[in-house]
Amino acid sequence: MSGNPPPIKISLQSLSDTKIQEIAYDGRETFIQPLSMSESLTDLANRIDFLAENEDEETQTDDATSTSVDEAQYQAKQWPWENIRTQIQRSVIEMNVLTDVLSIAQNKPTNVPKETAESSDSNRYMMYDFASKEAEPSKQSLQMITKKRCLGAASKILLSGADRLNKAKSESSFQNTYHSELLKLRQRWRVRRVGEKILGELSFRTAGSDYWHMGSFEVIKKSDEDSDTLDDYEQNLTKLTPNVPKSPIKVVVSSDLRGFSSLSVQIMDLSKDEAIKSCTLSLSDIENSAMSSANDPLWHRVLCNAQNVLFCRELFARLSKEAVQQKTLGTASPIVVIGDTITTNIFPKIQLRVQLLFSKTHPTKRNPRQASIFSIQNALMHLLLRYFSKRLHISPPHPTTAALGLTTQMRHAAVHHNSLNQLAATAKKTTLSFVDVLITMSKHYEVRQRVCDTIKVLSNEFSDPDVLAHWSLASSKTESSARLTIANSGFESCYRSAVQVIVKPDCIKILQRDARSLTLSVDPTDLHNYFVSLVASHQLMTVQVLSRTLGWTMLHVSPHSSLGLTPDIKNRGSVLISSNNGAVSVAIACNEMIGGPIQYTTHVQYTKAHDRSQLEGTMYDDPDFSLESEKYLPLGGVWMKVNWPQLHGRHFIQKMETLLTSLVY
Amino acid sequence: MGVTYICQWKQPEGQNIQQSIEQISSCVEKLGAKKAGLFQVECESFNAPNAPNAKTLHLIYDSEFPASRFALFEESSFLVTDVMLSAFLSKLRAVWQPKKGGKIDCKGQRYELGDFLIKLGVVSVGASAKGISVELEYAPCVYARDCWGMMSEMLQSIIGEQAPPSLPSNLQPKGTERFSPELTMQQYVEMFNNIRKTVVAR
Repeated sequence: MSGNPPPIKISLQSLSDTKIQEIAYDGRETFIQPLSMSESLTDLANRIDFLAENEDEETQTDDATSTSVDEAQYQAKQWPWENIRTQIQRSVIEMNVLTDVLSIAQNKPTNVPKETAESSDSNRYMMYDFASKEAEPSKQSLQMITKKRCLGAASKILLSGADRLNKAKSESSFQNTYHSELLKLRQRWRVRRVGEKILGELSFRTAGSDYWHMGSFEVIKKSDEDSDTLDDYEQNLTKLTPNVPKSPIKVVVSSDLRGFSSLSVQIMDLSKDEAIKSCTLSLSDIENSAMSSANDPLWHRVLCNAQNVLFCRELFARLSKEAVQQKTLGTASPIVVIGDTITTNIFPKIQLRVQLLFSKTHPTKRNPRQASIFSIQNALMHLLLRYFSKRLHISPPHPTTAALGLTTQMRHAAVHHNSLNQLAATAKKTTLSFVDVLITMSKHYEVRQRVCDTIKVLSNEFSDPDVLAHWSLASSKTESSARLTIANSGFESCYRSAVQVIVKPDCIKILQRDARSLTLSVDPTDLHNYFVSLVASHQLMTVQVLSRTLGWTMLHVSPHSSLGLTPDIKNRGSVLISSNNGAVSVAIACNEMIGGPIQYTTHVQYTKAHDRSQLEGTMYDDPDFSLESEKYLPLGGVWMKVNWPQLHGRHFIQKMETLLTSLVY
Repeated sequence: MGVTYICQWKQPEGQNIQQSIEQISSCVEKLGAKKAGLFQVECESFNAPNAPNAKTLHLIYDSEFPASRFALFEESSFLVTDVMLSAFLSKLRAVWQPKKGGKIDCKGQRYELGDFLIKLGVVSVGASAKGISVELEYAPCVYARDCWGMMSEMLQSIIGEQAPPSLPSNLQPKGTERFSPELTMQQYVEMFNNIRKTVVAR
């Protein structure tokens, strides 16, 4: 045989022998199902290693290029884009294959005419099928174990961190607490380092005060030995609240600020020699719990107390400076300043005393029985704050060339042609006079107390008409008002009198319903007198209105008739009324016994129709008189006094009503 | 700030100024007015010789408005300023020069009677007294027309027959304008001019 036959490629394929998967105990055999068409295709597709193919191709090309390097180099020079071109060509081929595969798999209808196109169902070459997924471990115990392990690892990290923090905290070395305490001190107080020493300042300079006291303190590191020695002052401080933690810092304040101080304002009645009302003012009242708490260390308490002492001293210094220079007075006696006390008589026998209390060891005790005058406390505090803010906050001038420090109104005063009165009024508004405010406020307070007491006493005395006093909420530091309503119970709709009492520091003004206004002095007897006359006039007015409703006519009203037989009876008004048929007249007089209660005396004159028989023989029997004789009958009647206690009725007006209705029949 | 009326009181024959002032003061005090300090109105006049048709400028200081100074042109504009006006004007010496014999002032007593303010003053040029001025101010009202009745009654009781019967034309504001110190100052300037004329006439 000449010529070798060309090599024939033989492909081998195993027999599709169904392999046995399992043989059961009863001899039954379970075969592994042979792969279906799609499964075998996927199997083959899985076996294709696309990357290996590329590598083979690349190695082939490499060999090709390496054998003919020169040629390639020559060729490369000629065609430098060859590599790139082949790569792009290969990727284009692959993209085309992909699109073809996708379109066949989706079985998109092509543009082939209908005769040649065959039904889609029979020509389906490729189909989508699900890719096989890995089964998740369905065992729950396994999941739990893995989660537990992960959480354990995370918690270990956190615990180690917490352990470190704990160790750092519990490691209380003396040096560490000293620094932390110093930090706390710096957070609350102004402290700075001067060379070796640490100094601080507790004055109110940054708030606008111009008090001379420097208010500086020194911070000292306490060594362990003398951490237990406290002097009297500090012991008393610690007694106030028991839980004082020990601290490695000691604060040294100047000796005149060590102690407890407060400012007390008292209004005393010299005739009774006891303080009526007093108020004590100290910074710690206003501080309250916002600034300090029970767990504050000792140094904080020392500093707070020192600041309080400074505050009281500054306020007192301001008050005494103004008191000494005071020219215009509203007081009964001049102001006397001795040492730490300012005294003046605001009214005769009423003394106002301002005292600066300072004690090295014990805090000032406040008498719990005496209520404090909050308004004066507040006003003094406010004045000081306003003074501070005025020094600190100066409004910038508009225009900028104008004088600094003036308010807008002052600057415009010239150009808006303010007259003398207007200028005086603005000057009065802008001055901050501590003593003026204190005096007017205490006078107002005192006068108001007097008015209150008088009203109470009088309303208790007169149980007859009901007296109601309603104090208005719209009151100021120097003025307050009350509305007095007088009405008889059961007869409120009949008549009610109302009067407005305006309390001022120097006088009491009364406004009546008929637009009359009276000015009474501050003396309580004035108000007492007025009150009595008011009640009396109310009663008489009610009688008038009542009689009018019942049909009686008013004959005569007089507000005051000095008809008392004895000098110790004061008359407060009288009324004369008569019934509508003229048969009965009633006269009521309201008298006040000096030193006693008000009593009403009533006289009734009534005439019954005289019998004709009695008149026989008298001049009334004359035929000329007969027509008019009835008119004159009541004239000769006798006045009879009414038995007041026996009359039915709870109070005066009710008794009057009974009387009037029973007399007319 | 109220309505003000100013007039010159012609003293009766044979009396000098001192006696006239005493007479009218006693009249006012009998009405019940209380003395409330002194008052002063000063007027300085300036003119601009270089500018043609320039009006005279009057600078007025009234003690009733102590923080302000007034600058007034005759029948023309009006200005309210700060106290620095005279210093400012002295810097403008090149344009505005003080008129000779231009300084007039009016000094006297101030009386308060309820809501009324009465000022009796002696008008003098330099050291010599030239006349008597009466000023009446009713503080609560700012409309001249509304309170003229009350003011004329008051004037009649002070200066008798010389009181004007009806609201003078210069007090009648244009439309319903409020009374302002401008009108007061205009009245003063008018009165000072009248007094100057009588002085010259003598």
